[in-house]
Amino acid sequence: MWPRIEIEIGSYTGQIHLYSVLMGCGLCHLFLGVDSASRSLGLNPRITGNYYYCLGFAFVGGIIFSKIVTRFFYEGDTPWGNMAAMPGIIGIALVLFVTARMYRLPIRRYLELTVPFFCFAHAWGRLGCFMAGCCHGVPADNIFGVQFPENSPACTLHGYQPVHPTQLYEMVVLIFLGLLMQFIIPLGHRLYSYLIIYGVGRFAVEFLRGDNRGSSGFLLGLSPSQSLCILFILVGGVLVWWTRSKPLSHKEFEDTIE
Amino acid sequence: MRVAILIVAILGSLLAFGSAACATICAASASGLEGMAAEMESELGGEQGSEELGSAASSAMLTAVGFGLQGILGLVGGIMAFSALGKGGVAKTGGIILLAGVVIAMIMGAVAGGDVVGVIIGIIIMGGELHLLGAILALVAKPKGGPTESDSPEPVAV
Repeated sequence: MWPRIEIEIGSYTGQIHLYSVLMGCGLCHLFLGVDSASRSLGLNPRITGNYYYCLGFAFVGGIIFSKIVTRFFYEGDTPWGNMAAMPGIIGIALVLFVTARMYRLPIRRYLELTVPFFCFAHAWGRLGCFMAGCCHGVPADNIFGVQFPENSPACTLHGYQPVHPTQLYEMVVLIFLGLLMQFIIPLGHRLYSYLIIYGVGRFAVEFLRGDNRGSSGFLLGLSPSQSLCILFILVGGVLVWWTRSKPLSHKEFEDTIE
Repeated sequence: MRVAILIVAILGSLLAFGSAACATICAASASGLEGMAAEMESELGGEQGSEELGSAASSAMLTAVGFGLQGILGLVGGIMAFSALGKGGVAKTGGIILLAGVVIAMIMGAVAGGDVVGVIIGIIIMGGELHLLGAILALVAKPKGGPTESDSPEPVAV
């Protein structure tokens, strides 16, 4: 855990939050990855350029959406302004869909390109969580346990004892998923694969989470995030059916190519 | 060049957003303390404390808005420059927006009062230097050969 770097110059004292820096690294990875993938496919730079605006709007919109909605999902246990990842993903998807419609972009094709790099960006964000000490796990008395400092959220909640580094578990899931998407799963099958595999992985990691998980799970006493995981898996299932009836072929990319 | 502009713009914006969040928390705390001080003053007499806290709260809020605007304009300017250079065009608009974000944050910091020099140094350190660097890069970047706005086809409908 290394939440911030203190800076003191003259009368000014400031802090650089490593969570912000790592989120920035993730966002750069996302943009540069999409740029590289679209260039290797020979897509029209003008259309891809418009897609970057959509990604920028989606990022800012996702943050705002998550800041507003998180409190409702977590039933008042969470103060205003806190963000959770899954409402953020939903917010990003909604804003991306709306802005892509406004720019008349072929959103499905670009989403298929974006998914692997979104996984990597999310993994950077989880590393940021580990640095900030949030999103920690339940106490662990095995080799996986990580001892956070005394002033950390984990020690405030569970006392001075090792906890599961669930941030790193999820980061590993996301890196694995990103690599799978980039190198194994072909275009046209990535979106539903992401929704299903991430939903299952996150559902499993949630059982080890030890921070405040809220109490407004919609199903069988599950946490809100687990309820949203089920939603992800269901949407992924619908997309499997939809993709089978309307497959995205490489040929469909051709009208986006210069 | 375009990759460098994007990276410095995004990192600068996230640092600015972080500072905006910190300043907002400061403003909220000062505002809460102002209420408590006002209550104590009504019981014990005196009137200076709550006024000072109220002024500190509004200063912190103005600084937060400045940082927030800098973050948003930095992100927009960086993406515009990245996109424009990718299309083979010039990135002057993106560079000007990046520069405008830093200038607006500095003006709002100065208007907020208090230690103006400290606030301006803070804005430069917390992402401002990255945005200034991005603005310079965007303004001097020469477009590589590629499709221009005029000869590119229109986006296709979904």
